[in-house]
Amino acid sequence: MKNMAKLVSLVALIGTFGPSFVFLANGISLETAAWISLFATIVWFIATPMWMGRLEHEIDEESPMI
Amino acid sequence: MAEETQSSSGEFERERVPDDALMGPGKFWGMYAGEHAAGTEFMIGPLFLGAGASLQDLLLGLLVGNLLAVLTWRYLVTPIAMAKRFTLYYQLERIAGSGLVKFYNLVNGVLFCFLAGAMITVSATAVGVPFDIKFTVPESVLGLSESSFSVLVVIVGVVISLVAAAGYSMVARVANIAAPWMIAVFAACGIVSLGRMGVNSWASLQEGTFWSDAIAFVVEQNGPQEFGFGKIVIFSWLCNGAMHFGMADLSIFRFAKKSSAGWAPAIGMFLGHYVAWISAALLLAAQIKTAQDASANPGALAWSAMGWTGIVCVVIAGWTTANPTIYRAGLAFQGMLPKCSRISMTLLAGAVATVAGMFPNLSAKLLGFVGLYGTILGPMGAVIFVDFYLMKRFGLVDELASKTGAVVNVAVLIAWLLPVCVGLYFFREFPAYAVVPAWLACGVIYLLLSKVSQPKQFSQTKA
Repeated sequence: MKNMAKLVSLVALIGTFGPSFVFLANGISLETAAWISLFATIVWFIATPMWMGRLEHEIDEESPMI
Repeated sequence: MAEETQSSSGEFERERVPDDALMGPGKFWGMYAGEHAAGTEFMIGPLFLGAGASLQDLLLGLLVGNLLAVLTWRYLVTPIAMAKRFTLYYQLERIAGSGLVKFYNLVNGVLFCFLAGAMITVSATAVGVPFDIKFTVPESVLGLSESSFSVLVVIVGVVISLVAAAGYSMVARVANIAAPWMIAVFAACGIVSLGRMGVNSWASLQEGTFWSDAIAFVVEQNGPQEFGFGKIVIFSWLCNGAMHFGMADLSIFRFAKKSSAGWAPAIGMFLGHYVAWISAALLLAAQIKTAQDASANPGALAWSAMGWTGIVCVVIAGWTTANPTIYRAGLAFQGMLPKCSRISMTLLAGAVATVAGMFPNLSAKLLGFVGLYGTILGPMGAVIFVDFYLMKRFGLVDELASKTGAVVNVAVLIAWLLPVCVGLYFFREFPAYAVVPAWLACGVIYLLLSKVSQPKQFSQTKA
């Protein structure tokens, strides 16, 4: 199940930035690229919590991220 | 430092990290991968273009500056962290005394509030897009944007502060989950921006007119701008000066099993402070080309390239970074007022951050503020460096406060504040320039003052 979720996350990640390259190559419109990325984003946030836990020893309590 | 001002993780905050808790390099690469994909990247990237940086200077300057930052983490922070295996605050307390560390922490907390304020502003620009709420930067430093935007900042600030007051574990989890996706969105923003500018061939990319035209437009709008190679190198090297020169990341690398973990910040630097900054700058270049508009509104920029995905990215990037920053500032304030609850102090920090976020010039001047942050906190790292490498060689006592019980080590106080004040006076236009000189001066002054004052001070205490 975890491996499946990881695979879906990977596909979703590619789906997030992949359309931008297709748009760059004039393959799809900007609007289409944005909608595909949004769909991939939703998939990412559903699939990823299934396998990604919290990292040990969080660092952002002491260091603000810039 | 007081327990309540320490990290809430409760892990070896006042003791050496034991061998069985050490972590391999892979963990550090994972941590840093998402560490520098913050809401402020959407603001900093466009500021380079707005400041007139050429594309060549930006590409090379960021490369060199980020490389220097990685080397500083690797060779300055990691060896001390692995030898001592203490948090920054505990290490500092052993040298400077608990009272001085509380003061340092308070300064840290106030600076955190202003950083969080910039992050709230960035988030609000994105939340405002669907509601067509405009964001403009007024001429006056203490000027407000449109009243609707100020109200939106208050709403966003209140929500972020309440979540921070409730604890931050959930936000940390969201931040971890979102990190790879945010990097992907940042990269996509840059690619889409190139497409919007018609830069879809290697020749047009090399020609670089998309960038030079944008610079020309900025110059026409705002007058001649200058942000050259050296300034870019210094900024990208030292914008995290508090973490490497200032040794804040001792708290991280104390867990390192091998010194090669010290290379891990490279992934944060080259994804967050290279890919993300350049991508965010390209967003502004595309906006200038398509709409003849040079205003750096992160929400609008992300919306124009990625639609709702861009909006969600800006909100999450701002939220997940503002939240722990406010939480940490609350802990710092609580260190000064231990009778107050953490929740009330977090809300106070959130209120300060929200008020700061209402002034758009704070985020618009982020390049300067980040340098200020490094200049104020960075030099304290020199005290740790000198204490670790030089005190015994000069026949002096290291970690003086831990041996004398001093609440304030005056040598550290003077060595820290004097160069910071002088540095900020001379480099007030671009404070990042002051980080290295102030760091060096702090180390030398600390050593000299210790040489002059320590034997007497130490013998008196012993007596």
